[in-house]
Amino acid sequence: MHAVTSSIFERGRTGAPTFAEAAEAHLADVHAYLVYLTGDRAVAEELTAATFERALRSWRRFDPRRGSARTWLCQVARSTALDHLRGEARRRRREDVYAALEPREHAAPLADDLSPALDAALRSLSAADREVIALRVLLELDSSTAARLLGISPTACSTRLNRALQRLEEKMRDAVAA
Amino acid sequence: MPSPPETINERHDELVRMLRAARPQPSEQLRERVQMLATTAAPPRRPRFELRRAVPVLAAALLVAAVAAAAIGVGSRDSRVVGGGGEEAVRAPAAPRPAAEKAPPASGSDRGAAPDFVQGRSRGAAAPAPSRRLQDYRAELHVRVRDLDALSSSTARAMRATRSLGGFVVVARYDAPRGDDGDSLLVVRVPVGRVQDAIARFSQLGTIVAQRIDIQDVQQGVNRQDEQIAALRRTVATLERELARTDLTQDERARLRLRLLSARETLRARVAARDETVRRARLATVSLTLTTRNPEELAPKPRGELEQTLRDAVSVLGTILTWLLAALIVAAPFLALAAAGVALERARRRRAERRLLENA
Repeated sequence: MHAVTSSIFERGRTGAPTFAEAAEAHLADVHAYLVYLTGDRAVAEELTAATFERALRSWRRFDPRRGSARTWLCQVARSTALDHLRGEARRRRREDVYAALEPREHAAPLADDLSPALDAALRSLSAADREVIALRVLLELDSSTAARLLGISPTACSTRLNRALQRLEEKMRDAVAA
Repeated sequence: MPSPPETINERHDELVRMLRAARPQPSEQLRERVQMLATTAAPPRRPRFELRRAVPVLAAALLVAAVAAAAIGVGSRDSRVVGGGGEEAVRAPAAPRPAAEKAPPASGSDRGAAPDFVQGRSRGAAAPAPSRRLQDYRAELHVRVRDLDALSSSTARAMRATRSLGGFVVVARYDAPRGDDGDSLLVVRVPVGRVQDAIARFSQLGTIVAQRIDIQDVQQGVNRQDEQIAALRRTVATLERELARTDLTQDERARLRLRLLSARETLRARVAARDETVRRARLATVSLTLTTRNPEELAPKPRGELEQTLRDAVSVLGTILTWLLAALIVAAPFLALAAAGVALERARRRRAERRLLENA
């Protein structure tokens, strides 16, 4: 663990974590979530940094009684990612013809230890599918917290997860068969 | 602290295990970047507005406002007492005051003098002297007498006094159903110039427990009637002169006669009304209640300051709540529209986000 100035780790009077504590504890979660959401590690690195910058600016609005720091950071990350995706969508619309012809660079795998088949299968899923997998499988959020973050009901969240995992398995089988 | 994970379909256990085993890790550069960020002082958290905490504060503020309003009400009541208004008279024993102080204003046809209600145990009653102006003078006296015998004799004396003053009895009611208590009511009319004598004599029948004097100046009304009558007389005279002419056609003469008849009729009615007003103003109405009962049973007990303050506070609170309710009723449709708008906007945003993520 990296050394950080001790005062940054001082707990607030209310018992809520300080920003430094929250950043250290949840950096990996936020990063993993963004990797799955964007499907691009390089973009996810940038968005993670942007998320924590935004979180630092908005830290005074964080209320530990309304949810954990991890959930709050994931909400900030989601908002940051959606802004990025909207910008990308606009850019693609503007450069429609060029984007269609633009050869896609071979992106790095989503995770170092991920098998090529699983990596390919994950990339073939939609961002919505990858997002629910990230929240429920990687971050191990319970379905109600994940649902609140996604703005859907817990039942819809469970359904979405099952369908996403089902699709992922099918894609995996296809990839292995190929 | 992460929430306990919920069960994911066992069919996907192997897949879940593989995904968790190959979890993406942030690079060293990213870690350093975020740690650099964390070393900057984070702004302190801003306290959030919470309805649960705000409700007691609002309630306390309302209570303070109500008590303050009630205190202001008490203050203004006190100032009225100091100013010598009606409530002073209610609380203070009846005391003779100069007639000029109580006399109605010289002008104004509304109730010229505030109703005066005197309650006390003195034997003398202070009645304002009638002025030379025409007035509708009404007095109300409550006099306590010793017993039923005194009630009977006092009633008779009051009737004799009325007649001796040139007045007459309009209503006489004697009521002594059983036991030692009884009442009698006399409504008399006496010449307004003798009303002070009448009140003085009535007050000697026993102990005055309450007195109320109500004077309405009617002089202005009579003056107006006089002006109208004079104008009508001039009109009648003009019409009579016109009719005396010999060069009028039959139609003109008929029209003039009709107008003259109408003017004379109106004049007669105005004169009658004026005479009635003057006649009424020449006589004062005195309502005399003689009773054997205790004053406590007759007059309402004056409220204590604390009770009055509490009543004022409750009244102010009631007013505030009424206004709040009214504001809520008025604002409710707009609030409902705003809530519906917010809900629609949120749903639209969710749909857009879902589309974006499904296509990304």
